[in-house]
Amino acid sequence: MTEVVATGRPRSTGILAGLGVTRALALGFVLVCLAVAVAVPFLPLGEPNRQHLGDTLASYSAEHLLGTDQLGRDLLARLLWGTRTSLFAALTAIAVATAVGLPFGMLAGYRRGWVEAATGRVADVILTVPALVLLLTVHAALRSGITGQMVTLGVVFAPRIYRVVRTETVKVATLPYLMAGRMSGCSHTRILLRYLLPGIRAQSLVQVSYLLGLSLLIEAGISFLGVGVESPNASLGTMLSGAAAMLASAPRVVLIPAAVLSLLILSLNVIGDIESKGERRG
Amino acid sequence: MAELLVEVESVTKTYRLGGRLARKPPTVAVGGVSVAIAAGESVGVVGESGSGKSTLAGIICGLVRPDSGSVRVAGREVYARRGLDRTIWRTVQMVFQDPYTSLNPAMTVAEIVAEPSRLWHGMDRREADRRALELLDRVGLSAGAAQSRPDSLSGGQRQRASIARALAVSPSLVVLDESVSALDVSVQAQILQLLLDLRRENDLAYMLISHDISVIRLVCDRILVMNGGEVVEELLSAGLTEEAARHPYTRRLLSAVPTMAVDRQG
Repeated sequence: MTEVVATGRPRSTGILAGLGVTRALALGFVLVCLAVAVAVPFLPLGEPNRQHLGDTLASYSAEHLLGTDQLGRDLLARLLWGTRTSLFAALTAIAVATAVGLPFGMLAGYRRGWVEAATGRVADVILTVPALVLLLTVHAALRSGITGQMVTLGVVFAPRIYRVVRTETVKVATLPYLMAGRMSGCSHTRILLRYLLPGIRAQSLVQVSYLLGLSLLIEAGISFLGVGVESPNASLGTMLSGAAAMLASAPRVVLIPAAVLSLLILSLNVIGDIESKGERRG
Repeated sequence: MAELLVEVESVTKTYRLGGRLARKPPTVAVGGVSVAIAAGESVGVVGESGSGKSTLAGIICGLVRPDSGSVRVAGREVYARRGLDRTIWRTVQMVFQDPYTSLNPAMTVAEIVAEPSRLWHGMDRREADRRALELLDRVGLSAGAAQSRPDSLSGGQRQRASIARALAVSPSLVVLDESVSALDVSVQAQILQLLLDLRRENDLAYMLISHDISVIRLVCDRILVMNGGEVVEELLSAGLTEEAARHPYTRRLLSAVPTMAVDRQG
């Protein structure tokens, strides 16, 4: 019977297999935002911080495609530069979290014993620290700017990646193909990289994608509070804080960056869904 | 007597279910078993689930450290130090029970089979690839199947790939832990025939573990019957009948084999 089931199973053709319209849109939107974030310095945009005080809250025009904000700055330029700043900030946090959480999580799940006990306790301790309070403290103590804040956030997020990676590693580590690999002559390092890492990739990407959305939200939050990206530089967070008072008079100035931020976070969560579906199918 | 490949002396392995503090008595998986396997010999281990056959296989393959007793493979103590003597895997290889979890899903079949040649025998990539294709061809897998990943293969094909992977090391002993049990009866027969052919060609020793005595009878010269973590009887496969077995458990096993009474008259 097994035979029949096995041959009848459709071949998975990567991440795009069975991708619905919603998910295709989500992936597309994130990719476009990433492309814009990278390309922004090369685009023919106005200076995002130059003020035209005689031309504040101007509506859509050929000169300012999205109009201007309360200080007469070009909204399109600020939106694109802000998306770049926010995305790069969030990616910094995720890079730090992954660089710390992934190797320790894999080691803990693979070796178990004291390695797991020691790293697990450290992770538990970090998890008890409220992110926002820590970020405010770091800002007050070090004034290290958005990069420092995002590295701090990465450290706070590392245990979350660590935990997912460890759990997945424990699951995969009991499968016989690892034993077969050891018998084929693989060193522990080779087992970790060629056998375990592909096995835990899908679930880890779900967590990374979710945390990326959360990092964007936190960047916006702390920049709104003035302890993240510093004015006048644009980020999705500072654009919201500067324009919050304009919600009644010129809602466009608030709603456009808010929409981009919400869509990005939503899209990242939808992409996380794709990844976990792929895992279940595989 | 031929040179001894594997010498297992009174090994014991107990498992404590539910951690060290549990009040349940520890389960004895293998209790004081001694086995010797000579080069080129084919030994079958039969017994019902929980009789300790898979644990014994794990102990011989260097995968399960016994609580006591000694295991020597090709004259070397396997569990001498705190670590494990990895070089025993040049001599002993294993084909696992479940064809769906015993091949790395992230590698192609050819890569999986080429790995031992590169890592144990120091071949370069091209040489190892060529040898992998030869081995896969020998076990009946096409070049097309070789370039695909395990998830697009059937159970029988995967088990053939697992056998090719084990053979790539050029071992002296292959331990087959219920390796055909998960397969269709017709595929089972093909794989068993393959095992018989490979043994003749490569001067291999087998340790075949199964709960199915008819499978073992086909491939093995000698049969160990396990029950409750102990070897209760040792038999020669040739001319095995219910009457030849002394232990009541073996008799029950033999009488449970369905025999086909074909009436050729009508």
